[in-house]
Amino acid sequence: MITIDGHQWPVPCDIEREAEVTPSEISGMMLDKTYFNDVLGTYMRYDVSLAVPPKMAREYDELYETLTDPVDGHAFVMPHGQGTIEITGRVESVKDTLVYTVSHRQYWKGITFTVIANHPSKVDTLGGVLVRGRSPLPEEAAYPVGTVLELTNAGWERYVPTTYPSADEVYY
Amino acid sequence: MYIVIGTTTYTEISDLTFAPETDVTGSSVPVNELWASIRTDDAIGIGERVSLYDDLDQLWCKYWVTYAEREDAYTMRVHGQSALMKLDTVTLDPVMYENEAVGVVVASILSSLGSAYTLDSAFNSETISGFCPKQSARVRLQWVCMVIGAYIKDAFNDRLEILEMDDDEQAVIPVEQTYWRPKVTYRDYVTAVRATYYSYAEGVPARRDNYVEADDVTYVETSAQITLTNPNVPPAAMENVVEVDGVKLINQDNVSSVLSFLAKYHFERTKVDLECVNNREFLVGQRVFYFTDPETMHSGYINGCSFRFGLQAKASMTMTPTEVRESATLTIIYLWDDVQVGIRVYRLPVGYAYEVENPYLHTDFNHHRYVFRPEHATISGTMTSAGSTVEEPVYVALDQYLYELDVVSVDEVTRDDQFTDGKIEVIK
Repeated sequence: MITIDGHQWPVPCDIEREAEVTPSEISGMMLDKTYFNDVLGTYMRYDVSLAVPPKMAREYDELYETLTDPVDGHAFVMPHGQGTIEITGRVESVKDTLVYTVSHRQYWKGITFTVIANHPSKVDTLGGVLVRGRSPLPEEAAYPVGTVLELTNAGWERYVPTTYPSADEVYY
Repeated sequence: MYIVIGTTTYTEISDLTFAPETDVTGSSVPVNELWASIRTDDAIGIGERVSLYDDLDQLWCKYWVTYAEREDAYTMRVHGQSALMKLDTVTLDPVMYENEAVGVVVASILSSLGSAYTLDSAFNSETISGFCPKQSARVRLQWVCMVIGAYIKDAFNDRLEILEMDDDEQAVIPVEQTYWRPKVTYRDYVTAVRATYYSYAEGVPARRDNYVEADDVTYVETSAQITLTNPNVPPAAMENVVEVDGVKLINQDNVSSVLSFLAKYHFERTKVDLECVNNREFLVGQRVFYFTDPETMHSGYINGCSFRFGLQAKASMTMTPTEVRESATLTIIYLWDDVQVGIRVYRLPVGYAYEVENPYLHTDFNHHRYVFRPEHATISGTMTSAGSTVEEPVYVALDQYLYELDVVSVDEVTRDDQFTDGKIEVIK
């Protein structure tokens, strides 16, 4: 399910995503034959197909008009990993097909569109680039010697061993 | 990058042009400028202060808005120039200097600037003698810079700086920061440099004497020329003399140093154009070491820097004069007990006093990701023509095994400790 400008679309959809790690114009080959990749950020691109049923013809027309508005971007909430990601993206093209006309009503189907994020979802910083090579891991000075850390979804956290009781009530 | 105009910050900028330059011979005083398109519907006025900053809030320039035009409903095209442009609008009266302190002379020229400036302390005990006719403040400043051996820096700071031309190299542009591939060109031969120097005596001039007047006092002017010939010119080369004439602050005491620098600049034919990653590390007017290929090192002055911006900044630089310098290799081998875990190679000029910062090293071994900390923060020494190889011990600082990370001491941890349940045992 995706959300477009606050409107949720609980219809079957195919989403093909592409993450573009975009270099700046100053990237290039260095004198030591290594490539200097000056990355501006990671920009998401989505090819979306929505299967909107015929009974939602009015909503379909509203969606089409929204997507084809000549604006610089829309607010999208897209599936991402096991959750969602919010982006402001520009719609590059919108396509669909007229299926049939009944009693002066026209039914369209197969709407597909391409969204390209206007802002990077991941971005490096000039400060980060300039000190790269020091330590991408947590600063060891922040923890006492001997601390064990565990990588979780929330980041690096102190590792606390889990204890399990045995049948004889001895904990391991 | 972002721009501040007055008290307003603008982050949506494009078509940014910033190409500061300086004249290391003192023959001119370039007025540097900034062009940018700003996405805004604000009205921007002439005469406002415009400053350019990078993402680390470092100042690149602080200029005055001299042009602002709306390109469309949401875009302003803005042009800023350094405070030096104000000197063109100020005309100074004739003056005769007799052992006047450089600081006093500069203060009288820049009093109309309306903004701060600094004068290199190297000129604290220098004096100026000679005549200046009625002229613009900018020309007078250029004359002063030529005779004292100074250049103007009007970028990368919030004030004008008058700095001494430094013969010592101030930095090395490393190979890994230099784009493929610098261009070496050769200027026409300069067969000689010639300067006219002047002396003045108060009195009534004879019929054929040259004379000048300042503060209702008449001075008889005499002049002579000195020529330095280029010893490295082939016999068939056409005569090409660079001449400095009419700069009446050149006198018998300073003409040698003026000629000497002109000779150094013009007799060396090589000019190098190179591009490098330059995040404000290498500035116009500096003398630096740089490479035209991985083995050939040069030394030269940065005359101009034209910047293009991505996340970092790329500078197209013109280096002149420039000369080839001998270089050698410094190799640093990082050892964890007896195991080599890293190596760094630096190409440095012979005779260069170096201080190299030792980085943290990252390696993967046996499903562990290690971060090694070097024993010493830096390695220093003087480069010899034979080169140098240094062994630097390192210790484990961080050990990541799958999704667990150990924080360890860096003192006396040995390799054998690594393999106790995949964790590090801290000894002390």
